[in-house]
Amino acid sequence: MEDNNQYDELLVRYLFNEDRAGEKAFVENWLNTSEENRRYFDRLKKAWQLTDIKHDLAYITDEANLEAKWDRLEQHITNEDVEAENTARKPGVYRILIAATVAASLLLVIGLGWKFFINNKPAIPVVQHTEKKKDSPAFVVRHEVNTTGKEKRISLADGSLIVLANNSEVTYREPFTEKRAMTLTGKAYFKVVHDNTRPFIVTSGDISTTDIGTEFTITGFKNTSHIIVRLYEGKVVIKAVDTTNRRMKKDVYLLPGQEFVYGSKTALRTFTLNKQAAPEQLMQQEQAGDNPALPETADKPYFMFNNQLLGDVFDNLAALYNVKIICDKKDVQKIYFTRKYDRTDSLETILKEIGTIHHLTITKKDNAYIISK
Amino acid sequence: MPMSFNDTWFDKVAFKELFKKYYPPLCIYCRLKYGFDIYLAEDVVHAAFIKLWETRQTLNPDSSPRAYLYKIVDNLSLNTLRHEKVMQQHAAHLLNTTAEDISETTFNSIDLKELSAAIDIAIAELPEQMRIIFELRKYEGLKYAEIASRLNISVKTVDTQITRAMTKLKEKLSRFLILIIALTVTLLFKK
Repeated sequence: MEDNNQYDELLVRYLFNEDRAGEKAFVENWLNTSEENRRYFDRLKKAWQLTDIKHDLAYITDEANLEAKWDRLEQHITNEDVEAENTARKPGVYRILIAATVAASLLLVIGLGWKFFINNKPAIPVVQHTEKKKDSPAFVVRHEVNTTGKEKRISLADGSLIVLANNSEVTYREPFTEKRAMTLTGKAYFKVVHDNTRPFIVTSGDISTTDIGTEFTITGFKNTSHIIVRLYEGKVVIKAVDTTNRRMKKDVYLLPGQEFVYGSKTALRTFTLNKQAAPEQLMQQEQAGDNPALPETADKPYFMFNNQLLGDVFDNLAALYNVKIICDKKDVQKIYFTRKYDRTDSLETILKEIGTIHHLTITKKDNAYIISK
Repeated sequence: MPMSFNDTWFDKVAFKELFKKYYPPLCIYCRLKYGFDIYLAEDVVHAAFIKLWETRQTLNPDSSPRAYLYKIVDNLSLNTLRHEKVMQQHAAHLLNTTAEDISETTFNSIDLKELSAAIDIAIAELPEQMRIIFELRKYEGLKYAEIASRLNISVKTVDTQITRAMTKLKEKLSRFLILIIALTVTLLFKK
């Protein structure tokens, strides 16, 4: 090993990035010539690395610091546990409380083609919380990634609720001061406690959705085929992030029961509100409704309607059961219908159900059914 | 004492014990292995403990929390590298270090306070001028030429002094080097 002494200066210069012309290649070559050379260099480098962490070691082994870090962790896990308990143990009370305090609420963003982490990330399937220190020490960036396979509830400090779908992520900065801004990739349900002074803005891809007055806004996704914003309650405005966006020249204001589809075909549609359903249920229902082109079901023991216009539904039923169904188009316009039926279900039952849901009267006359308001 | 999930560790008292025992070495591990600065390393380890807490009821009661923690830290670190674009920043460092794997088992046996003291002493024991030159390069980030002009000495002297400092430090810290090195820079330099 003594022989290597002549190389020490070279190796140290190499470590300190002080190598002169041609030296780097020389050192790398030398390292390649034998295992012994590499071992020699390795020890030198480890010593160099150890001196590198001199200050870090003093800092990290400091008892007071360790206590402070524990306090931070303990606070975090305590909050988590309280949240978990609230949602698990008293859902009824919880919902009522939310309902009472929510001004604008229930906004849903869907993106097809959101990130499928599972494919490109062999990560542990968990909800990850990452906190990043920003320049201002008071702010913490929270980044929630959900790969648990089911919906994840996130309660925000302002009382708002986010239900994050699987394979989705949301990023925001706390505490909320001027505005409550978040970025969403994937799908999430938002129940926002309105605050005039702090608009709640969700950005998703090209669009952003904001809660204005007693209202609310939302955003879109990156690199997705389309983005859907669905409003269940309150009011939101949707804007293009880029004001020169040609697909969306005007802001869109949504009313409850309306959904905005942003994509190759931008459209405003309506859907059926279901006020009883829990956020998780709503999200799952949507998922089914997001695939407008479902496979033909002719060979199946059931048939289904998937977010179809009620008028079309009646036409289909008439053909299936070989009867006449008469309705005034005005009575059924803008009503969309999603439901699955067994082929053995009687037409009478089906129509009765549709009638109940959409407040329509069904009258049978000879071989025809008459639908009226 | 070998802890396992079998102990009633999932109450907060036991969890705190686990934290105090493993937080510092995990941070240093993450710092050395992935080249993160100490604050990023702390964030990663913090997240790892949260994950451990959240999944505490679903873990195999016989597995070791230590091994599990190191595993989470590895996963989170790799994710961080992949996703946070720290990539570019650390690519250079990684090229130089990832090949040699820092072994979790031996690493955890290091007494960090002892190591910290040993490094401090090793540096303090260097001859004064040598120490000053070394510290200027290492902790002040001055280049050889800058040190030379500041101390009014030749670059050659700086070169020699720093080299001597490094060889001395290597000797003084030799017992720790074995623990940290799992050998092989091989991957890196194989053509």
